[in-house]
Amino acid sequence: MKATARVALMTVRGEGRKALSTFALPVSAFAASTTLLLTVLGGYGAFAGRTSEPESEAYLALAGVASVLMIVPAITLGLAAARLGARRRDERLAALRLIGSTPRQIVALCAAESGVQGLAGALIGALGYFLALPLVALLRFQGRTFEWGELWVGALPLVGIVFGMTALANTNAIPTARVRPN
Amino acid sequence: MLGGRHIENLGENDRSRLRRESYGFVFQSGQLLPELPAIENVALPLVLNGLSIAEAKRTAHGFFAPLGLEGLQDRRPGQMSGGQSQRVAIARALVTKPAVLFADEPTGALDAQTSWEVMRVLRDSAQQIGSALVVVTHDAEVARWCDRTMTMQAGSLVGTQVAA
Repeated sequence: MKATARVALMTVRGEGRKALSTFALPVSAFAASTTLLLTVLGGYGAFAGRTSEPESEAYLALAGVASVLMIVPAITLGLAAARLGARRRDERLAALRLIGSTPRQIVALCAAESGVQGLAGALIGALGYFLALPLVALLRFQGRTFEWGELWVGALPLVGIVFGMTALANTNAIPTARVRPN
Repeated sequence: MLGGRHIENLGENDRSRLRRESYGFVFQSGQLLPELPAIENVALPLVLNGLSIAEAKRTAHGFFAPLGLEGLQDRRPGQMSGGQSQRVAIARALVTKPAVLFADEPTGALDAQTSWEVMRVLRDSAQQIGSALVVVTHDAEVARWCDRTMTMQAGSLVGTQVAA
């Protein structure tokens, strides 16, 4: 494990500032997916909590349809981000396999890199959700705007989505790490 | 067989260890990591073998002067010529002192003069550390550097020549 950590350290140090631009695109995509997911879930939760409002069932049904329509592209974006990050690594992983890295070392390197990207993106995305709350709260439905409390998804779902996005980054990236030496 | 051991049925981890400890590879494209300076590219197999980065770099440093790479330790692959990159790849292949050094079209991307230099470095270095050198090439000039030449045509062995 020490050897894998040293190789990861060498790579990150070697990339230097370029690492930021390499990471920026997948991290941004994970962040956008996370913000979208949390905002959509918060919105659905808000409609689910308005049971005493007029036509609440119709609004909830429409919110459910809208949520599905938004969640699918959000997850697709997250998956595409994971694949994008993995593709950039392929050349390096093939060279490492060639000089004797074990499959386990390659998977560990890949998991560390994609996990950091996924976690960083999800945390930035959660911040984006908090920043978007005041704007979403301005929307008017059923005769009134939303309150912040209505749009809050709750601590547990928030943590679940952050770790879910990190897991998504890993599960989608690791299969591509099963490269064979050329 | 390598060192009295059958290698055809080795598991994935044993094959990885074999590549890391007993084999060295040089390819036409070099297969260097573009983000690492030359010294770290050469040190990489030693780090994978468990050496610290500092120790590995110290050992790798010793391969630069004999291969004509003095002063290029901090250059990245994109900042070196094709011949220099190929010599760094040779240094990386030799740094673990492998029993067998495989070179697959090692001069395929180089001009005639650089090819000659790379082949000289490859043969001399392999001889110095006592590695067997196996070269795959389409170039008869490159094949002339070898003690034994086996010619293949359409996947079949059609001739063997031993240098006088």
